[in-house]
Amino acid sequence: MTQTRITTFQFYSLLYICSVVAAFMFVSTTLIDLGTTDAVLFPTVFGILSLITIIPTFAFCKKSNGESVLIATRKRNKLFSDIIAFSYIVLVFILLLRTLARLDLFVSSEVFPENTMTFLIVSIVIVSVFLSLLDIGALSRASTIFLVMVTLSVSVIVTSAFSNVETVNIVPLFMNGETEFIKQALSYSVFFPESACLILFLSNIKGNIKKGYYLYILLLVLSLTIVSFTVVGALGEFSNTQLFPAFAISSVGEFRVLERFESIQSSVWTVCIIAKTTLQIMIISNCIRHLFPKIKWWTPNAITGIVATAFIIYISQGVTRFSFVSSQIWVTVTYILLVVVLPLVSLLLMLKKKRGENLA
Amino acid sequence: MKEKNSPYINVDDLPEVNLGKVRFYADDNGKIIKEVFLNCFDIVVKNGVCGDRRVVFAKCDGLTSSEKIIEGITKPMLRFDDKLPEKDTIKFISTEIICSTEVKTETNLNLAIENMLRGCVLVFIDGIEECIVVGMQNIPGRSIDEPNYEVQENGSREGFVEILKTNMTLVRKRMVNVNFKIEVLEVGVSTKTKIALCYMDGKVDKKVLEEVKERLNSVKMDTVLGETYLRKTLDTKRKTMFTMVGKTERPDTLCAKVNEGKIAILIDGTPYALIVPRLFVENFQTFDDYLNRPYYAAFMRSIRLLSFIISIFLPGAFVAIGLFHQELLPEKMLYNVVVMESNTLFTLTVEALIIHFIYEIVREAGLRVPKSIGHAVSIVGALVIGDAAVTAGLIDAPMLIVVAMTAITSLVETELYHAIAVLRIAFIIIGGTSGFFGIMVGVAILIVNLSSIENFGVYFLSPLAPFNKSLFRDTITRLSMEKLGKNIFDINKL
Repeated sequence: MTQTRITTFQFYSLLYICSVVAAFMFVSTTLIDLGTTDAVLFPTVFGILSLITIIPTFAFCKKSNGESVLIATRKRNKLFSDIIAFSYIVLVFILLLRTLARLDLFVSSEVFPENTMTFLIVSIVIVSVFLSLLDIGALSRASTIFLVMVTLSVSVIVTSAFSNVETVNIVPLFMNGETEFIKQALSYSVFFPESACLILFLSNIKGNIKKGYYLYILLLVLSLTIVSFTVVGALGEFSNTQLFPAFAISSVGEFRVLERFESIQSSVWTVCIIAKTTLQIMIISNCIRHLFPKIKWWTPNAITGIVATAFIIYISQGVTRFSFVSSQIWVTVTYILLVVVLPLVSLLLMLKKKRGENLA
Repeated sequence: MKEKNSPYINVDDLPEVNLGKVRFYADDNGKIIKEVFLNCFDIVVKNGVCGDRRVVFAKCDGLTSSEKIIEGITKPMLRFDDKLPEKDTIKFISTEIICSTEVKTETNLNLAIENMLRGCVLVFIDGIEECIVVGMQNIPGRSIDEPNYEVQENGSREGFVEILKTNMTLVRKRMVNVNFKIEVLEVGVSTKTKIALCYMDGKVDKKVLEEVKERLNSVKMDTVLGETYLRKTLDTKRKTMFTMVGKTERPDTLCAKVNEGKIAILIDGTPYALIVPRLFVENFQTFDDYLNRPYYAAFMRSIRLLSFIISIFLPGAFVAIGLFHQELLPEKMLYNVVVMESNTLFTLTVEALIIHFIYEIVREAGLRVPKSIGHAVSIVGALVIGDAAVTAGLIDAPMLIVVAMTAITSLVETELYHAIAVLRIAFIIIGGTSGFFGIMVGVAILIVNLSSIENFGVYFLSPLAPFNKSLFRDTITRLSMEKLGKNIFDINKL
């Protein structure tokens, strides 16, 4: 990992926009019903889950004295560190494919329905590879500016769509039962595995990590709740017929001189998607560099870009392939492995070695 | 590897003339200078006698004041008819005979001649392997005038000129402070251009100062004839259209920047000073902002920032809306645009590109041609673009408005014009091929690129990104002088 120092504000801004774009790119599935009032409480469940699942990461942070997972584990066991790096490569690559596949679906179904947009996705991968060659500092600093753009964009959507909120769409909570609610809320929550990045860039971050994380979760939960409320209130059951329900609310609102402004909204989210894919390529490249330290500095980024492009071209040619990448089981497995298992295993290694050191 | 028949010569391979030490006999020194400057009309070598010794005077005509030389050197020396002392002869002549405040000695003939070419008079005395260098400069130059580009509503009317000493004086008279230092360095193998480093001791970061000196000393260039020659050396980030090396032609601006802990570089022969490091927000600040009321300063800064955004994105956004996002416009407006567009020959993208290229050509012509015919070029340009192109159906009226608006807004930030002109064309092409979607991809690249620029430990986008709340009070907004006065902005706090 590069040793560029970034503040917690910059880092969590980056995570925030990655999470917000995941919410707006949320695809309606049979497993998660975004049309009922229960959906308004999904972000709260996500918040609680995030506070629980982050415990191994925070424990690792304490034990590693601010060293990122790859550096800290390498000092103790090189083989184990390589396995961790490889695991991150595979899991983050799946996330990268999912992000790109969703973008492909979004662009080809909502933005330019008449055209094949594979070239645009490929160009986004190229741009992300180019930007990932810069350090995490540049991306994080840029994220603070993107954050302003996203906040403005979300505010405009919510404000404009708020007038369309109808009380008839607000139905009593837990109509499908508490178990179904919990099941759906957890299925929703695993779509936000961004906190897994914390452990990878630990040595680059300066400032109070815990305080920043709590603030990040709080703001994210608030934003997602407001958006969910607007979706439920403005669209109701109709939202289940929409491929991208959160995007659909931008087309119901009208803003001053602009008749419709979903194209502006989708453009703003494009910036966030670039930031997200850049971060993912950066993580994969850093892990490859960790495995092969003598490799040329730009090669891992280029390889990641080429492989991702090849996969995405393959995926874009069939909806079933997209469904495979975005299937709930994959999403859940990657979330558990990235957010819980890998930090926990790394923590155990640190504890084991520490105990060994004490006995010696 | 040196290519065969290459038209280029490496700076390291340039032939050096080593003349060695000053010769024992004055006439020998005179002969060497005559040989070196054979057929050079402006180099004057004269013989004479001072007391019991032969002396030789050498000077570069035009760079020296003849009256001062007669009164201060030749007259007193030639009239001295006593015997010169055997010991400390040089000291005796320098202090007792020559009448000047700028006197030094030199043993190296190369350095002595270099001084002569800077406007000094050389005095060689028989029997002494040392020469006297007397400062008698009278270098011709432009008088102090109002700056051409940094025009201000209020404040001083003085701008830098091409003479280094005059520029140093303009700065020094404003900075009556023992901590204000001016160090002189030399760059350029052939030109040996003098440059002056201005900084405030105690405020400047010593490490940054050393780095600046190191970079300037490492300059391997044959000629340094302008400030842009040194920009490349001072800028670390190459793959960007923006620079962290600022430029000013106002002494008051230079003083203000130096007072913030920055380093200014005055270059002999150029009416501009370079300032490092320069922040992005400084492009939207002028000296006038500090002379106007805070609310107005904040308003004008916002206008400048808006102008910058409009000048880059407006044509691209217009093309994107026209081709891809027509749903954004209200029906009436859309109808008007469609009707006008249907009368033109080209697509919006081609129209926008044609009109911008015409504008850039007219601008370039207006800049290069003599002032007397500049107006004629402007009129022809205005007629061609404004009237004939619309009548001929090459472009439509809305596009003309967009171009006019863009042209005016791009002139608000003269320092950023180069980047604006290129980015504008790029965004027209992007907007024309992939709409807002593509424009935002471009925006992402631009913002990340801007965020990655760092020089001398300072980020280009600070105090915006990284955000610094306390320094934000003098960026787009400005607090009153009472509040700013006691707490001076310090670049090293970023």
